[in-house]
This record gives sequence, C-alpha cells and structure tokens, in this order.
Amino acid sequence: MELQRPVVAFLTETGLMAMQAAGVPQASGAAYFYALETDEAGLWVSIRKDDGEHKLLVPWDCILTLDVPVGGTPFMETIVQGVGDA
Amino acid sequence: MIKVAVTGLRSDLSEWDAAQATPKEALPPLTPEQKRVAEQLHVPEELYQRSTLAGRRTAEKLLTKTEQFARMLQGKLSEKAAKASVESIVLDTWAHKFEIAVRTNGTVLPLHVAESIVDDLFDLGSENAEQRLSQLLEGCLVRLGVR
Repeated sequence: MELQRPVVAFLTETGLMAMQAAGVPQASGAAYFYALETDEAGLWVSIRKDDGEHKLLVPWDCILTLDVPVGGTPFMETIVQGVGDA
Repeated sequence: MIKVAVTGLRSDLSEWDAAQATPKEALPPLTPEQKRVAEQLHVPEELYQRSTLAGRRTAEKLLTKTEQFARMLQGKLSEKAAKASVESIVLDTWAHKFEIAVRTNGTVLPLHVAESIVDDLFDLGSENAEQRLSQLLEGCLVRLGVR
C-alpha cells in the first residue's frame, strides 16, 4: 500500500538494533520516518544518507505499532468557477 | 461554483526533502494540538514542524490538481448533459480517490474517481484513462436519469 507520508514507528529491541546496524540510530523506541509504502515484508521508508536517498525496509516483526496521520491537518479548500458560471 | 478540497496529510518526497532543508526560523509554528501530538509520539517539535511544512506544500499542489480536474470534469459533464453540474470535489489523500458530487434537476449523486486515473490523464495523456473517466461520467448520468 502506498503511504507517501511521515509515520511514527514504535520499534522492538530487535528493530532498534536493526536500525543501528543499518546506520540509522534511534534515540528511543519511536522512529519518525518518511514512509513510502508497505508490502508483505514490512514498511519501506526513505532515508537520507550522505550519498543521497536510500530505501530501507523495516520488517513487520521489528515494529510494535505504527502511527500514520491520515486526516485533519492539512485540510485545504477553495472555490473554482465552473463552466458557465457568471 | 465548485467547492474543491483536499483532505488528509500526504507529503511528496521532494517536499519532505525541501522541508528538511528549510531554515529553522522559517518553519511554521505548531498549534497547541500539534505540540501535544508531537509530545505523545516522542517526535521532536522541529521535526514535526518540518513534517507539517511538507504536508502543507504538498496539499497546495494537490489542491491545484483538484482544481484543474474540477474544471475539466465540469467541461466534460456539460458536453454530455447541459443541466448537470459538478457541485464539489474532494481529494481524499488516504483513499487516493476524488469524491465528487454531481447535481442535476435538484438531485445530487456521488461519483468516485481513482486518483490514478486523473494522474494518468494529466501526466501521460492516457486515452485509457480518458475512456474510463468518460464511462464513469456516463454511468453517473444514467443513475441520475439524465441518460
């Protein structure tokens, strides 16, 4: 599933170790990622490293829970003139 | 008049990157609600501010896309049924679909169009996407009793 938004992933101890092994140290169990998508393997996130963008897989069994903002802010609206409007 | 809106929080990767490079003093302040949520999620406020900025900039782009689609849809609808009009279009960024209200003769009917159809149409000029959109509109007009 395509996500394209920031998410907070609460990681297991193994998940934290995996992030450190991948060069993405986390201060606590909560990791703030830019999530690209999910698949059966886990959560694919975009990580910025010194040589550019990397895509990193966070396996499902490394994630305790995931917080994904889906609504509320930002909510933008406007009015456009329809065809035939004065 | 067509009411056009975008709901939900989505960020282009390019806007996310741009927000990471934005000077701290140029970041939008968080609302008290956002501050509380950032704290609950153990996310540093500055990071949450950058995320909010990326979401806002992406929403502006998505609003423009939705406006363009609104105008195009109204034009296509007018060709098929002079009295039918698009009342509102909302892009649901979580469901990846446009939720549209079409009105004719006092009746309003919902029409849902996948965002991918509109992207294919706008970005690739896809004939398949145009055909699919036309079919969806025809179906809507049939349900409204205009066809």
